[in-house]
Amino acid sequence: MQEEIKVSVIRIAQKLFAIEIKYIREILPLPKITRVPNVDVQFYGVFNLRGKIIPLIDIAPVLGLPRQQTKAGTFVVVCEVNGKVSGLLAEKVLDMRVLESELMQVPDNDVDENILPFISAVYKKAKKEPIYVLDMISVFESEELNKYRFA
Amino acid sequence: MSNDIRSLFTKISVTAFFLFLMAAVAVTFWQFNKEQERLIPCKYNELSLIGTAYVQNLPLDTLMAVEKGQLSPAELFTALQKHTRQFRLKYEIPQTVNLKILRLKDSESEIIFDERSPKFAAKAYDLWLEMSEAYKTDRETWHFEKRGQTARLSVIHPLKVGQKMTRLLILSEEDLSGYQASLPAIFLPIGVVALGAFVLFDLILFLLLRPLNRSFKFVLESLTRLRDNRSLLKPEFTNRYFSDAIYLLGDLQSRLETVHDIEKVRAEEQQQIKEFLRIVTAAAEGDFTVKASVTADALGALSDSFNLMIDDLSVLIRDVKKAAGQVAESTENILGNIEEMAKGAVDQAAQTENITELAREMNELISDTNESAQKAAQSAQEAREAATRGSEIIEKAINVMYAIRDSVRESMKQVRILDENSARIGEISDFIAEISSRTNLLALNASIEAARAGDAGKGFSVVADEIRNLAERTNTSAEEISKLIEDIQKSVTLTLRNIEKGNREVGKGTHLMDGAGEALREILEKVKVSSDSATNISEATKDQTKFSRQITISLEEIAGIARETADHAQQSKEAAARLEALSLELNRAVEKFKLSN
Repeated sequence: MQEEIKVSVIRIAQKLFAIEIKYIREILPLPKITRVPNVDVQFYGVFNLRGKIIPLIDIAPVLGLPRQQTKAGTFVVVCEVNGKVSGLLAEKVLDMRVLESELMQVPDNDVDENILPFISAVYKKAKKEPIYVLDMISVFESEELNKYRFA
Repeated sequence: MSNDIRSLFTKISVTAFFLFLMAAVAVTFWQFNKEQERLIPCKYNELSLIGTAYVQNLPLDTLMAVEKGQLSPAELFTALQKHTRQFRLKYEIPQTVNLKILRLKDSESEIIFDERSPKFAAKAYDLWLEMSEAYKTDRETWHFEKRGQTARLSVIHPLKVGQKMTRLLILSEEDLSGYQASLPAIFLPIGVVALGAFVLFDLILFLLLRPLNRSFKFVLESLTRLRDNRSLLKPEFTNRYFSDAIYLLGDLQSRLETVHDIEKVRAEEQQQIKEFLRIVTAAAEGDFTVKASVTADALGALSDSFNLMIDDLSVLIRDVKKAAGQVAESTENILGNIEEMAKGAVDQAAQTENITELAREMNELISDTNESAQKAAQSAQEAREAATRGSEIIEKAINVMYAIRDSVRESMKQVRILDENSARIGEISDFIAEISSRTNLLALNASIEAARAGDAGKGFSVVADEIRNLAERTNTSAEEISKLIEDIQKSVTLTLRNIEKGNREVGKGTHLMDGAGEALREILEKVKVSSDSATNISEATKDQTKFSRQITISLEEIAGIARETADHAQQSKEAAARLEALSLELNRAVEKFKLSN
């Protein structure tokens, strides 16, 4: 592990997740979504970002968490991983901060097993909520997200 | 044998017995007489011979001597006696033959000689026709005489001396009764025969009567059965007697049955009539709940009519009862009313007394009223002045109220403007907040880009950070502003509310003022009215005095009428009491009728 990681802390389904900045392209408030019928629950739809069509994904069901609502204050975090660009639905984007690697722990048994494959570490600061550091590669390469991909 | 037949048989037997007996006796006597008569010719011959012999044997000269009266009868007797005795012996004349010599007289005969004793001489003897005949015809005659037990046959020989007939007769007599068989001896065979005949007769009678008895018993039995209303027996033998009667018995039985049926029917009818009588009696005593049973015959029709009659009567009596009850009620009411009337009249009289008193008091009051009226007029005037002053003050107060209301309206307007402005400020601060959040986002994106640019973007990331800080500060300030605006708005709203409340109070106050003004005006009016009234009163009191005098006169008249009314009430009361008595009687009379309700 590196000494410190720059992450953006977002809240998904009342749990704090951290996404490394290098994977984040952009953060924007919820745009107009075009729903896609007949797809799995994690696919919310698609939206137009400056001429590009980007899929909107809610990873909460993937992580075993309850589905998120698309309220007015929700944000979309546009991530690019291995050339795949998708928007992740987040309730709130808290801030951007640097996490000390000393406080990063390996995920242990009291972490939900659904979340486990998708996180790389757990950041626990004293008296604060633990922040699950998302492993974006495993998320983006997961079966659930690649269901409708071909070629 | 039945009793009757037996008695008949007995009677017949007894009668027959006696008849037979009498016949036997008669036959006996007849036989007796026959025998006697048979004896007569036989003995006549004998006696005739004896007599003739005697005649021839007689010493005629002795007799002539007697005739001439030469010999006494006693001497004659002794002479003849011897002669006769000799004669008797000679010819063996039985002792039963008695010889006599009689002299024929005119109306009698005299015994010259009787061989029995001398004392018979010169005794009178019967004169028989045969004697005269014998004397006249010179022929012997005979005479048979039955006297008691003796049956004497006398043969009369005339005596002829020479050729001359003498008046002497020779009698040869014999009592034939000796020769006769005794009556019992005759009777015995005859009696036996008669008895035998009687027995035979009885037997025949018995045999004849037996079938008769049988028939009679049958008839008796049938009659008994008829009486007991049992069925008749069939005659099991051929009845020779009473066959018609027996034949008729059958008819009689059917007749009797008919009669029996009729009797039954009549008995039923009687029963029905009795029942009906019972019901009628009950009804007569006043029980109208009874109902006669209706049957199909004439009595049933009668019962039906009777029921109808009872029903009608019931209805009638019910009406009467009702009417009686109503009459009783009405009389009660009347009595009550009359009582009240009488009481009322008395009250009236008392009241009129009171009223007269009151009238006098009224007069006094009138004069008092007059004084009071004047005082009232004066007070009214003072009140009027006070009221006018009061209304002026109120006018002023109202004006002040209006002024307050105008100023309040003004301040309200200003406050509303304030409210609007603060709302506008709020809007703007919201806008600023949004801008700052956007800026924040932008800063975030910028830092992301900077991170992605790596080393080259370090300076940029600093700038991005600064922008973010700025945005945050702006955000904070905007929030503060927003909060302040909120507070201002809250105060403004409160102020507005208070002002409105004050406005409402002012409105109320004005209202009250108006009300007060109205009230004062009314007071003014009333005062005027009152002072007018006071003047009227003083005038009126003068009239009142006049009227009160008239009232007193009328009251006295009323008292008189009340007294009359009381008298009339008393009379009516008496009449009503009589009416009540009558209605009680009526009720009592009707009470005894029990009706089926």
